[in-house]
Amino acid sequence: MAKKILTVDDSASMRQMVTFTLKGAGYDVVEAVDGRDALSKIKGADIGMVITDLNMPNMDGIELIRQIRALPGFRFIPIILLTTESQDNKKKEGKEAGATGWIVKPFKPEQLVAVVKKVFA
Amino acid sequence: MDAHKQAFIEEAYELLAELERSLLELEDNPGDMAMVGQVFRAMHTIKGSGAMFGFEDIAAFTHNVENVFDQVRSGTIPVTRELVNLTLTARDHIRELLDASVSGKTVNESRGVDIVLALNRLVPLENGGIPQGGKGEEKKPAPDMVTYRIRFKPHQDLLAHGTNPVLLLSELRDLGDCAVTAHTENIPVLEDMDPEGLYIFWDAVLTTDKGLNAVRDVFIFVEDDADITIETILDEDDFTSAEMPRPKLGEILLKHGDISGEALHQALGSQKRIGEILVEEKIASRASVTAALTEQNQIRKRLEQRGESAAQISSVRVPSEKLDHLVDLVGELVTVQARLSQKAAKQGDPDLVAIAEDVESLTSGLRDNAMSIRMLQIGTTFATFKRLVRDLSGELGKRIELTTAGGETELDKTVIDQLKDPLVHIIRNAVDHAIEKPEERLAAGKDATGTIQLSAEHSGAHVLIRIRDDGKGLDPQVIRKKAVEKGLIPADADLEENEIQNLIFAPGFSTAAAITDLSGRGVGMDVVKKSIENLRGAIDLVSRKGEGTTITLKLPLTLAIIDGLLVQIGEGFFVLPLSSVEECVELTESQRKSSKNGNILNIRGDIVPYVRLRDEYDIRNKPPALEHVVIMETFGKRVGFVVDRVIGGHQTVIKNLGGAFRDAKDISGATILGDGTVALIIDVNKIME
Amino acid sequence: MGIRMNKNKGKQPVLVLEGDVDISIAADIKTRIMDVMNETDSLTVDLGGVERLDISCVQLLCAANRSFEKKSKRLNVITGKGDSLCRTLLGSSGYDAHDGCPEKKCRACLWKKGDRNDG
Repeated sequence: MAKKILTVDDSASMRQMVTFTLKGAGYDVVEAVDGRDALSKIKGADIGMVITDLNMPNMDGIELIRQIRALPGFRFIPIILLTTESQDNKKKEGKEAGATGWIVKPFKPEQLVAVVKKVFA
Repeated sequence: MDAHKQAFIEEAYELLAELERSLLELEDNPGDMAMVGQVFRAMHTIKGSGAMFGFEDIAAFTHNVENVFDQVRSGTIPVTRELVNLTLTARDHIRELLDASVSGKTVNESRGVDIVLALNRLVPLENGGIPQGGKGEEKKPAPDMVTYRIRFKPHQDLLAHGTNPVLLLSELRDLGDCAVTAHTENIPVLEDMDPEGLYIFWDAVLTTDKGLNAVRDVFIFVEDDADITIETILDEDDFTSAEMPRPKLGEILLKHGDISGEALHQALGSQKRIGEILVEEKIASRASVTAALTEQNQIRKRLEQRGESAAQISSVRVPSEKLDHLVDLVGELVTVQARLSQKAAKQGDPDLVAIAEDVESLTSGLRDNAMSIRMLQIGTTFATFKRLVRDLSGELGKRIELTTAGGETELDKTVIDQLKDPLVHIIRNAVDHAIEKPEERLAAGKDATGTIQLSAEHSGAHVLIRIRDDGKGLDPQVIRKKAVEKGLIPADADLEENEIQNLIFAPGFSTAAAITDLSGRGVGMDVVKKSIENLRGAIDLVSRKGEGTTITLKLPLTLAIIDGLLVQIGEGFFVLPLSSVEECVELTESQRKSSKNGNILNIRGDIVPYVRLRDEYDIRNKPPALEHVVIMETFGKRVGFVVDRVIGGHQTVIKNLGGAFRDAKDISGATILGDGTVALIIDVNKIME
Repeated sequence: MGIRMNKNKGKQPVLVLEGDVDISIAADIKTRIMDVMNETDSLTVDLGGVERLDISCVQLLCAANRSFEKKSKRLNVITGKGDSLCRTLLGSSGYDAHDGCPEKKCRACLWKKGDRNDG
């Protein structure tokens, strides 16, 4: 599977930071601005992993995770949830929806890479 | 109480003593991170073992203290006096809990809660937050190498969340030296298998310096999707080289929970390699045995890396009564051996004499050995005084530093046990009365901080313990006045300064009422003196007004068996402690008569006074024409003891005299000779007074 | 990604796995093996064209081996060009890279080097 990561965030600066960091670490990156956009881009793009923000217009991160898990071929894809809240309930909700892990914002680029390596070869 | 609990209690007391030492040291050097580590580990061990052996209250309380010290270790909380004070209080509370578990009494639990609350107030708030996902914030790595055992047993649906467990194993490997064993025993046949389920689980042994948090972080996303146990199996800072554990295979399997103790016991009964048996008998899976072997190898590897030799120094814990009994038996043996030697000499049979000589040398070796087992270092006792001085001086508003030297000096356990109270007394006196308040000291041109030096050193068959303070010293005028008031000396007594100062040891110098109340000058020093004499020791004091006082205790190495010099006066036999004997000279009748005024001998130009023991003990038969003088030395003073005959060296097993002889002056005990005769042991120090 | 069962007349069937062989096709692999398990005495799994392999498939093949042994049938694995990839995965999964799993529950291990991948 290609080392291609879909990053989903409504904040452009955030997407930029994630893309820059992951490309620096040798991954290909596809950007999406919200859940709906992500679902339209994931099919046929040979995506190996998804990093999604939690709070987004149109479709939030939790719902996106649910929908991705329902797609054939993406049931086992690693998905990382970006949260601003550090409360356990959001992480838990994300995990229940099918997230593989999470990163609490703000985070440093090396933390992002470490988490990606943790779930994605 | 079962043996494990007992062992824990003993260990815990030792750890608490160590904890106190470390804390006091930490107070002196707040930046000493090694000391912080020691405090942490002591707490950690008390907690861990406490929980294991059913001391939940101790474990729970200690856990809180350990948590705080974990943050001290990571640099979040600074070492302050308040922290040390609180931790000392906590340490005392743990001790109370321990005492309570021994005595069955209850402990004031609210005190523990108060301590924990106070400790938690030292923790900065922002540390209460939840750790970051992934690597979390960069923390200072714990410096020591720790080996962990990790069992990672994912739930069957782990893969459904997109988690790749092999990546987690790789992450573990990145942390240090890591060996992973897969358990495949739960993989079913294909028909029964959920192809998307996970049936494999893993044991890993990891040696890393990255700390427990880094290990936990590996599994942070799967905490709810797997059973994860991380245990420390070897914290290398916890052990000196000799103590490094070398666990057996069976023990490891038992700890993993892979086999039961009973099964292990049965397997141990047969002769084959334990791992093979357990697998054959289907008691343990092969993977479990492999994992245990891996763990064993990892520990071995660590030992080798530390350059450990294969040689093991191990120690055995023995109740002290057993040692006492051993010494008693050796004592009896020495007595019997003396009889044998005497009988052999009388019989004149060369074979028997040879045997008797062999028995004598073996007995002597056995004696030294038995004695050495009972020897303890006095440093442990010294360490307890650090706390005493610290607490007392704080109460009194004084600044006092206690320094110790010679803590490695060894003394018989009995002596050390009985020495503690007198030493406390002396040190309390020094803190109470000798050392002045800071302002007084400054006014006298001294350093504001007073010093009490505590030292121990060997001197022949004795140990000298010195307590030296740089306080105000004893004023001879004041003591003289008081001694006259109390009627201890006549008003016109012609005494040297030192003799006057030593009057503080005289019974009646301080009133009985004042003995319990420590606020009088020189209080209860006669009690101290008495205790030291009960130990067959002697006490000496040198003091200079304004400069300080030195008290020296001279103690025998042991109380049970001494090397003595056997002498005869009239029909009676006496033993003089050989360690104090300098030489023997003859005393002719003419010499005796020539020294009319006072019993004085001239030994190579030195004037040595002598005591006629026959007068002392009222022995009235006619003395021989040629008498002998045994010259003894103590505290630099020499005195001769006149006896009829010097018989020779004698291994003296000391027997205490019964109540009837309690008042016998100048006699410190008795011993039984080879032929059954009783010889009295002369208390040289008493007579020399 | 590909699962292909080669059944040539008179020859033992060969299950060819290529590309990404991971959990997303694990259920598929199981079905394919189950399909032939009752009608053949032996099956060879060809991993020569595998580009990625994951633990779920290793585990699946182990389970299949156990089933085959139970029926006194034989399962073979050919690693071919994919050998180093397989060995790497085995090694990082806590198997012995050349000797299979520590459990040795199977009489003949699929992963034991030299023994089986000659077919």
